[in-house]
Amino acid sequence: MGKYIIRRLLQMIPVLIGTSFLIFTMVFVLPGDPAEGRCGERPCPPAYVAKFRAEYNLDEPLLVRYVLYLGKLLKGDLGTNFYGNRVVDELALRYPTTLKLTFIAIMVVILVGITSGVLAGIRKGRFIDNLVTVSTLVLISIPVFVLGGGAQMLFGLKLGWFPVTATQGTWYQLLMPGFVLGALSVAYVARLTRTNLVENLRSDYVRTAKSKGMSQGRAVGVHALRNSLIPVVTYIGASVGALMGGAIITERIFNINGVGFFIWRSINQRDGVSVVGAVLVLVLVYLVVNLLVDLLYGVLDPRITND
Amino acid sequence: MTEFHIDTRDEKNVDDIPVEATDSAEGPASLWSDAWRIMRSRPLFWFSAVLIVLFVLMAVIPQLFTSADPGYCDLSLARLPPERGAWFGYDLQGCDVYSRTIYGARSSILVGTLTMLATVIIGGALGIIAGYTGGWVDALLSRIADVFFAIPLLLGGIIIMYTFRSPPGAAYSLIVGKVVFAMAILYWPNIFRLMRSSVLQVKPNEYVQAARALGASPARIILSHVLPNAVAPVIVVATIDLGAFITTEAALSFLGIGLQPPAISWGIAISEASGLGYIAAAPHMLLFPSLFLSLAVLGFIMLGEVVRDAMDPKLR
Repeated sequence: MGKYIIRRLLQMIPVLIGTSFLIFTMVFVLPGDPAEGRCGERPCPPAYVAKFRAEYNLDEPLLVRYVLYLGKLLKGDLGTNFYGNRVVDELALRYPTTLKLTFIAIMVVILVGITSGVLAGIRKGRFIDNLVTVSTLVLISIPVFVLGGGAQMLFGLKLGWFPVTATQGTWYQLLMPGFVLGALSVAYVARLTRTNLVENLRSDYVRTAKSKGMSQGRAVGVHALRNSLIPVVTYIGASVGALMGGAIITERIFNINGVGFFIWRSINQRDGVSVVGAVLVLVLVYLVVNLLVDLLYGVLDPRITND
Repeated sequence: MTEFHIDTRDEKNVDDIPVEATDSAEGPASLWSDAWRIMRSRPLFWFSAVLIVLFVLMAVIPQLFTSADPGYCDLSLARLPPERGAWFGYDLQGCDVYSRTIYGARSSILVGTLTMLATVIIGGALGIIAGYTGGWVDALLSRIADVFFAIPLLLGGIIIMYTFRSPPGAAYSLIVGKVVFAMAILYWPNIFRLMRSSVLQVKPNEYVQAARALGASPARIILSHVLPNAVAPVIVVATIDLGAFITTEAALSFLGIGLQPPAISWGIAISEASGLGYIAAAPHMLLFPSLFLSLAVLGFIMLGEVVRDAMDPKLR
């Protein structure tokens, strides 16, 4: 196990360096003068350009610049945007709301996704199975912003069950956006659970459990389900990346003042420092979560650590 | 997307694997003809095929479906609900929503198809090279792929599109090219990994070794023996991915960073219709482009699933 953790951590290093270098190159090296177009629609004032050039060491060679940039990143400095606010502070202000939203979405995925997957799996070929298979296919086809607008129209305006926007970011307000955000992953998790359960129910060890007199419920619940859920747990972890991308859209639709909304607003205000800083943080969070999930996978399924 | 696991670990029998037409000894029951027979018998296949043909027709010859000019707008008609002569009503600028929805298919189909081709060509070629050559070439390509693989599609897309953002009034083909570039550069590792593992599986087969023993050049071995037998999972995933690319393009346009007006696209239309006041006052503006977008994505995902089911030997 220890060896596995160390190997996994070592594998992570080139990916981290590569990813940050890629984003760094794209933003600060490639097109023309990096200080350009960071001040809204107007050209940047010379004072800001000078400050920007100094801050990102634009007069140094590329590699030196990258190392200096990486050093700042490690200290948690994501730069200061044109409005004079530190991007880290802006993010710290908004992260709790986005975490709440993501938490609701993941709970929805676990509760709804796994339940419907299990129901479909143990009744393979029956009505409930077909219902789950068809409805998840439809759900997968509907983009999150279409779903968001539809939910807003139906449950917010027509039926009045939920608040239409979530400007304060309370748990109740975030409920509907959380469902919208989680919907896509719900569909994938339901399908994944179903497939794995169906496969495991056919396996020898479940037949043995049944033949030694174990009840159907115990054989399914204790043996088949436990094994079927290992890939599902991994998938839920890996879907955090999709959830964070989706959060940008969900927060825009429901006016939630989280990191996603901040990114969207910064895009439209042409505030490049904020866009890049915030997206970079999301990518890093995604990488770390994936690493944790991989380690968890090793704990859940000992076969993984032995190869 | 990648969530559709194609189980490439299945051990294929040599008889199951299609052989190029040059081998005339191959009977009628190749993997492809089997798959085609199974697909034909499923209503879902025909349903998705009809959807896709309709949307492709819309993209190529929109005039077949509407005679109205999508660029003709009359502000006095703004946000009017559906009525005779304008089935889907009018949008913010008083343009005909039906006509704009029909013309919007072109952007989505174009971006989706081009991105799919780009990922299949880049990822497929590199995947074959990595899988077939092995050694340090494989290690290097795999590590490079890891880096791009680690960046989620939408997040990376935002950064790339923001970096290379287009000035107002940029040419349509240029903007489409950028969106395709952004998605292809982030997504090729998925096809790369699939193709690589598929090639690794085909490579040890006897017919490949036989070809090598007979002195065939690497190019010939790859093109006429490895590729035809390794390409099936890639085709399936690429079809499903096409739906995902259409969604991502619409999402980028929705965020105001993908295609931009005056380009006509479902993502832009949905974005314009999404303001809260408009949802209440003119829901038709949101409804119709959303419906078309979802149906297009559904068509490709469904087709991909039908093809996968038909090619999966486990289900037979």
